[in-house]
Amino acid sequence: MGLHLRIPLALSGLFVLLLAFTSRQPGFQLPAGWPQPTYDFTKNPLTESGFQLGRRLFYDPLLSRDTTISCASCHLQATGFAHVDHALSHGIAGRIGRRNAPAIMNMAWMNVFMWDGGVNHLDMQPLAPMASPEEMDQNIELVVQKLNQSGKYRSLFQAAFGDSLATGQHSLQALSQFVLSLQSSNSRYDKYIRQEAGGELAVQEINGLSLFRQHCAGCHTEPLFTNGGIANNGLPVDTALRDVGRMRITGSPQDSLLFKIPTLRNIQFTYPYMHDGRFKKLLDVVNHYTGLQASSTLDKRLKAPIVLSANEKIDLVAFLLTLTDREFLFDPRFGFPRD
Amino acid sequence: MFMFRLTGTYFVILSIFISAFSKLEIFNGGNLSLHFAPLFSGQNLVLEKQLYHLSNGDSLYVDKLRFYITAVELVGKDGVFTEINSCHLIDAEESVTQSIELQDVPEGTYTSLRFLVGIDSLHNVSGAQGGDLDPTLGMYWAWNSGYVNVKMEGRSTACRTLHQAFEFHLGGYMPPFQSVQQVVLPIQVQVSKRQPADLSVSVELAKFFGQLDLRTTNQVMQPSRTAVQLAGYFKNVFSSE
Repeated sequence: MGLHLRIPLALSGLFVLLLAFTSRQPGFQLPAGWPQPTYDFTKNPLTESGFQLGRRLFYDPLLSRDTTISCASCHLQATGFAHVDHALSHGIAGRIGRRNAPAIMNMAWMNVFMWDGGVNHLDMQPLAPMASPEEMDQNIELVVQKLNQSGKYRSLFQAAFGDSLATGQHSLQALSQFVLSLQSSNSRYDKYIRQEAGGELAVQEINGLSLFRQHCAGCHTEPLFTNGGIANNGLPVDTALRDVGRMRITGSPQDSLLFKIPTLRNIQFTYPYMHDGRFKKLLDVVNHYTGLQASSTLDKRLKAPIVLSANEKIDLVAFLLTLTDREFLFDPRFGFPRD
Repeated sequence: MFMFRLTGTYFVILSIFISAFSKLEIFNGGNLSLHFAPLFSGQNLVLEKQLYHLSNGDSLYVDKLRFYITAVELVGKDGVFTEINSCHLIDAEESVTQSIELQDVPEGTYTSLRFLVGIDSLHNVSGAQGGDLDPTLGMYWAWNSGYVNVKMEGRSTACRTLHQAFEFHLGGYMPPFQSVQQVVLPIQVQVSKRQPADLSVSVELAKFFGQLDLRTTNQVMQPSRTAVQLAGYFKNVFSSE
């Protein structure tokens, strides 16, 4: 074989390799010093085409009964995929849900989902807001039917899963691929820990970090700022909502008023706070923990009173603001698919 | 050209060998067709239109019956045959779902049939799955993760509910409300390569309704003590003669 043949051959070989590499580019990287994720990627390997399909589904109101509400209606990127300024989630036809739409990030480390931990796997989580009459009010059977009627999804499913027919499994796996890619690990705090440029913390913030580690880290454990568990954090039950939390799932009185421990990353923008959005400001949250009332299922880590001076409270809040990750909040890959 | 012919010959010989061996692989065992027959008092179950009478004087219609059969095993004196990826959603409305084809069963006499009614805990926590486990099949709870093992719905004059409906969605995999049930049935089946075998399993619903009072038990839609109790009743509907 002459040289004039070899070069184009080698080039095209390289091109094929490059193509294979980019089409399989994982949207998931383990940040330095973080634990291994618990999501089983072998059952649902991340691919660019799977991510893009999931992204379209996430932003598509087709998922709701009257095609008005998408996942992004209550999970906005610029506010950490939470529903800023709304205490309770919104649904079709102006319906109001019963809980605060939580932030979405770093989900590959989470094992239970929803405020009551009722969902046991990330793949299955979208079924809950879809089926809820106060949110999307549409079962996955109908969602998949609509996806198969819509022409534009055939090629997307084909590219992602080698089958143009939409199924429940593939729809949910694609949504997982998008959500798993929503990683926040580049806040000022992260850069401080990694001793990178842009990771400078002021004395006040460092003081806040040490207060945080002393009083909060038992549940809001670094680096995820949640231990992924469920606990009663001492909030008295709201008399209008009468939400008993985890007890709704298990029926056990021991689980009364237990709610999922949320991450505190990007907390600057995920207000209002708590499962029913009762606190508008971070200082309200801190004041809640320094003025706890005892109750029978109160988490044992909160039994001893937390005492903070007015200045210490300010320092703690100053530290929490270092968890804002603008690279994540404004990453165009996670936004509405405009093409 | 000679080289090509030689390679061609080798290729033909090789493919003959491969096909011979793969044939041996394929026909290592025989086939057994397992048929689930939904019945009410010995008659083929008719959904929605047939009024059934119970011994306590109540009467009822059955509108829907769907259940999972998983982990199917045949026990013989020479060993146990275990079906691979054994998961079947049986639907009284679709007769095609009522037959399970067991393939490549080693030859011999089998004296016992074992299966689970429902989905084991591992498959309840394994994320989105396909086939009969696809969550679009109406057998998955959205707000409290887990499969519905048995779904039975109907109407009875005994029920003081809307439209006199009873609804049994039996499931739950977490302690203390695990509702999956194992059924073991004595059978006598000869499996051979030459002739496919058949085995019929009766699903006698009268046995289920004979064990409960529709007046007091008519709506079970989440994992609970009652769900486990009813799953235990449902286990008794299976028999093989």
